[in-house]
Amino acid sequence: MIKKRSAFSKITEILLVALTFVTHWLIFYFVIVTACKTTGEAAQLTLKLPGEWDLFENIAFIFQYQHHALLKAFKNSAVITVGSVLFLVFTSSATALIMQRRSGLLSRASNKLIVAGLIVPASVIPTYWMLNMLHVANTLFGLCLVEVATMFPFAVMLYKGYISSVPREIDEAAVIDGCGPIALYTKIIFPLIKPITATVVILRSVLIYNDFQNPQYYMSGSSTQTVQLFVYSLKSAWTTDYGHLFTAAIVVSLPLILLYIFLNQKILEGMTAGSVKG
Amino acid sequence: MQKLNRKTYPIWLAAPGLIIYIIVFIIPTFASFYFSMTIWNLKEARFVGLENFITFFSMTNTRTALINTAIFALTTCSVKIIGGLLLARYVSSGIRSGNYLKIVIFFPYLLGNVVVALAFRALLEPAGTVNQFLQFLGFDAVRWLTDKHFALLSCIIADIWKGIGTVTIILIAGMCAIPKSYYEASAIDGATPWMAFRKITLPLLIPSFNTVLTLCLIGGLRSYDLIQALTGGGPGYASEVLGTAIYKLFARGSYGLATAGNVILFIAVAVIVFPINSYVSKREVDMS
Repeated sequence: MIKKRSAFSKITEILLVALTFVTHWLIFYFVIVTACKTTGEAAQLTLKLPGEWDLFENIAFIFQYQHHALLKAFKNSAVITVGSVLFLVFTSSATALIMQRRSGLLSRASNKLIVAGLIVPASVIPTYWMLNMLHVANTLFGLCLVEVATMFPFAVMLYKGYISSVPREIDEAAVIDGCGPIALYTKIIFPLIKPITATVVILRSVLIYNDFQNPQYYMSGSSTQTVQLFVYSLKSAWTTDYGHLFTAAIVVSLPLILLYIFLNQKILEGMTAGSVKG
Repeated sequence: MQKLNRKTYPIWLAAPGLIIYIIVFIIPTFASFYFSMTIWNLKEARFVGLENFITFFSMTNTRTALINTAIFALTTCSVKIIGGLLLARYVSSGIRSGNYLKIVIFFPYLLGNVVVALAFRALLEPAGTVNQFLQFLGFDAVRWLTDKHFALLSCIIADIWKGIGTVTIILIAGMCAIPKSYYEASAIDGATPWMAFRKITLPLLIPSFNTVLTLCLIGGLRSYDLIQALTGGGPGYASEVLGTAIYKLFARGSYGLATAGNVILFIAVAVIVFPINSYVSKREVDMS
């Protein structure tokens, strides 16, 4: 494809880049600038620079709001994200290993169940009923179980695809050298599939951290909040106090924004894992 | 060998994941078919047959929700895919700003739906930034979120803004997997870029195309977070979708009826996504 680019192509490129300034940068600018304003000034919703820079007061305010509710929400979100992702990585990679290596009836049956789970929407209230019977409704642990179960099919498919590229001869050599199943899984297979684990960890963390629907349903009977629920509750409490609302929105999104600044190539690559054949 | 297999790859290693998945996902899914036909308070369920479904289709808000869900899924899906295809085709053609465009367009994916909804709400307020701009240009202000003709459209715009990056990125990866030699050969044979796009890119892109189509359809049919946070389904039922309607039924304690809504969503996804998925897969061509 080495050829001279047409003028048309160059103009389109300039227009496209210019368009991102309106559709993306202007919105980011608006959110950041509004977060720096006092309540009165923010309410005007203009793109002007703040007359009085109030960012640090705003940050202090949202952190102190309701006895440091934001800190608790951060802690809960961290527990849910880290807990679910760890759980997910170990359970789904182990299941994928067995399903990929064995070809019995059970493998085929679980494969059907898992493919269906990729597409079918979760039934929220029966899930709540199930959590209730297990006595984990409205707990962080119960929420973790739901997150793991929802993310399970996709993670298993990713792992299965990747494990199929690990030659069986490696397993056989390990078994001959005296590896039991656990050693085979933890010492041989798991280190070999690290790249796909990185993909699962990064992408699923983003989804779980940003999840709103599951916490809203399954934590509705408890005072425990995640950061997303916290921002949502502020939205109802402060309605149009956009200075404070946007400060909260930025603070809550900051961990993922930092992640993206440092790992954007990794995230973009991971996003496409499993979607392209070959 | 069979015996070695059983010892090396024992079922119990697969069990923890499968058990959680079956208990927390599969059983509730099957249970939902039963509970959708009951009046239910989480403890006791009284069987009432198809009454819930009849109610669901006859209530105005749930009926509107069904129509809105269809509109929402169709529009977001087609705009994301057509826009994504054009963007992907353009970005992967080796332009200098390609990487920049990828990074910026994908960024909203990293933001929570609540955060995106907040930003759009401020922009679309009656006296918000968008209306200030419209008035500056001499147009009338639009009540984006509180006018029943515009509320759903606003949700659609916000959803496309957030989701188009994912589609673009996946399609770009699909395009990069197509061997360059095909294009070179076609160029020698005198194919125009448009012909190359239609005869080479599109057919070989089908696996990724299928992925984004499935993702967008499912996402559109299930959508909840963004709409709940942006309009809450309002004004009235103007932007009510299945997701928000089910939540309202859940919140007021009509668990049986809400589960019926969930089953309808389940059937809609099965009836729409599975056939499309297999139809598109059949058109797959081999790349080698």
